[in-house]
Amino acid sequence: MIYQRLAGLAFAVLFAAYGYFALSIQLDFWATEEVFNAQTFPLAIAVGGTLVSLLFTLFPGAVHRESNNLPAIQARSALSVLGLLILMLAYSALLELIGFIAASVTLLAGGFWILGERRGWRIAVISIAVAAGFYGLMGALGIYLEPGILALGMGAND
Amino acid sequence: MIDGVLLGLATVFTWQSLLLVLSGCLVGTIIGMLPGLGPISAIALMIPVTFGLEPANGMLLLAGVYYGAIFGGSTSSILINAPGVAGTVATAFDGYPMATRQGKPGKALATAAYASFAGGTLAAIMLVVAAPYLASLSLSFQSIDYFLMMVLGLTLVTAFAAEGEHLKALIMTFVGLALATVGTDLTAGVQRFTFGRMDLIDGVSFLMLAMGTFALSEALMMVLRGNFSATLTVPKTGLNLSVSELKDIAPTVSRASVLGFFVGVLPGAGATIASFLSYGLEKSIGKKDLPAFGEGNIRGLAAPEAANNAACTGSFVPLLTLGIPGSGTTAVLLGALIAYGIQPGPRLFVDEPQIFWSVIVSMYVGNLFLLALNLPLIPYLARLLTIPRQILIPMIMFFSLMGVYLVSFNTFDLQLIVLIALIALVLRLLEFPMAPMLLGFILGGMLEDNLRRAITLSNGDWFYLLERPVSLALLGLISTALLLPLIRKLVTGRTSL
Repeated sequence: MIYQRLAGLAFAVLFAAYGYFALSIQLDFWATEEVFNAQTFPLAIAVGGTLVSLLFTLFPGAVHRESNNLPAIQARSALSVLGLLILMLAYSALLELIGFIAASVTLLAGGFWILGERRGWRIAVISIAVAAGFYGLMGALGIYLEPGILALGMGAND
Repeated sequence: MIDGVLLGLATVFTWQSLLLVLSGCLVGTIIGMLPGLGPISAIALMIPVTFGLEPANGMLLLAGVYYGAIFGGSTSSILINAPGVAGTVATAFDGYPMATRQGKPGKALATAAYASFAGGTLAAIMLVVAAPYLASLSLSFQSIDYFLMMVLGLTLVTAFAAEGEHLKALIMTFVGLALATVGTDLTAGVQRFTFGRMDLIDGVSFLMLAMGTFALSEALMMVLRGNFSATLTVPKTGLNLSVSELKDIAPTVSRASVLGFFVGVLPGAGATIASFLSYGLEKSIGKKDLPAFGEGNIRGLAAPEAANNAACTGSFVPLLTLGIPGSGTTAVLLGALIAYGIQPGPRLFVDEPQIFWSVIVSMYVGNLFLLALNLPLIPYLARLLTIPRQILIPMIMFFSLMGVYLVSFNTFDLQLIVLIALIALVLRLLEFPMAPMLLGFILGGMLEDNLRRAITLSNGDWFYLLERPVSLALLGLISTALLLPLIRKLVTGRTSL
């Protein structure tokens, strides 16, 4: 129950902050006199969201699990999730640097390895096949995918 | 009317036309299954292909692509909880649990196929009979009525949330509405909540939110649960629905088709609202069903599928009769018609009856082809779930990220979707529902636009909300939906909201 109340409080603070930033929305001088301007809807959401969040903090409701606490999470699973999140962020950084195919193979192979796949041939075959297949399909549809700075440096066309 | 239908049949039932509808359905289904490419992308990709064809044949091909893409989106929604199209979000509520927890992916896909077919067929019949009358009716809806109808959709989603989750659903609705305000206010021309970042000028994309909160967070949840047993239950790929199941979903499909069609007729309302309204309606009727709604209930799957397909057909009414596109997809189709040198509108029926009636007849034929094409594919599609989790999960991650990247080609969006997935994961652990947030996000922009227009037209008079009978009726329904959990609480003496 404590986690639910904390979540309600967090939402109330978030909506209050949202309302604060809504007041900072730049308005043209004539818009300040209008009944409905760029701030109106966000302010209404901020007020409604804050009220409902505070109500939820007071009446958090039932939790459907047997325990009122968060579900037990194994450390290994949590580390795997963390690893996957870092991998996805690395993918966003690598995509335009080393190109679509290389970055995608890295993402897929890294993901397979983090989740426990250890057969090297399987990792290589599936990741290369999926990445190359998707690249080819996008090419057939006329959708451009980044070859990467390294590929451009080696003379590939943009 | 009979002459028109016969004209349409004569146009559609030629070898060339049938082949075009079939090709459109096939291409649309494949493209619709790909994350990031929905009906709009599918149609836009195919328009250049149609330039060498007769206008009637071009429209047949594009209509086939449209329906195929909708069905393709349902497939990814059911199998991997990744709704690539807004109208298939509600499909995932029961489609995904049926496919995974119950181990019946074949039945889930088959139910979706049959329900879509039935919804599209019933809607095509209603379209033939009622198109001109419905067009004039849809003109009587004003901005304030649209606003209230969308608010009704949002409150119904919260009203039909699970016991003890009404306030959570309401909070998530407000979160969705808040996310919809990020970006540039197109009417005022000001940036809101972008914090100086160019990447946020266009706001958050629907696909990013859908992929982050459904597909990616579900994949991460699977990892957290650590459910990597070596022996996977072999999913049942059978397509057969028993007689009792067919009898069970028949009234559901009928109700959902009618509701979906009439909602689809309203410009801007669309398949999303139709699917959520029909899901909410069936959930309210089937409270004592087993399995419960949200746990793989067959009616919970059939209702949104029938409704979204019927709404797609309904959205052709304003396009063909008034020249007003009823959805983003029909806006692209409008562009295609203009490119062919045809102006849709009240004169289309008189000046180009062949196009008018052939498009209507093609809807039925397209649905027939979809059913014939996709049923044999279902056992193979269902086998996707036999892929070991350590292989499937990274592939879901890859397709989710690609889906988002293909929209904007901006790596900032990849970072944002990772953040969204992480937040969604935490909220899911705290049992906050994601669907109300997604619906709030989808409707937020339209809500604001319609309210702004209504208040501007009434010269700032907020009491205009109470002046029209339609508005008053909708306000009454909204109040009832909001107070329903409280009334239930008072009647049953429960302590949770």
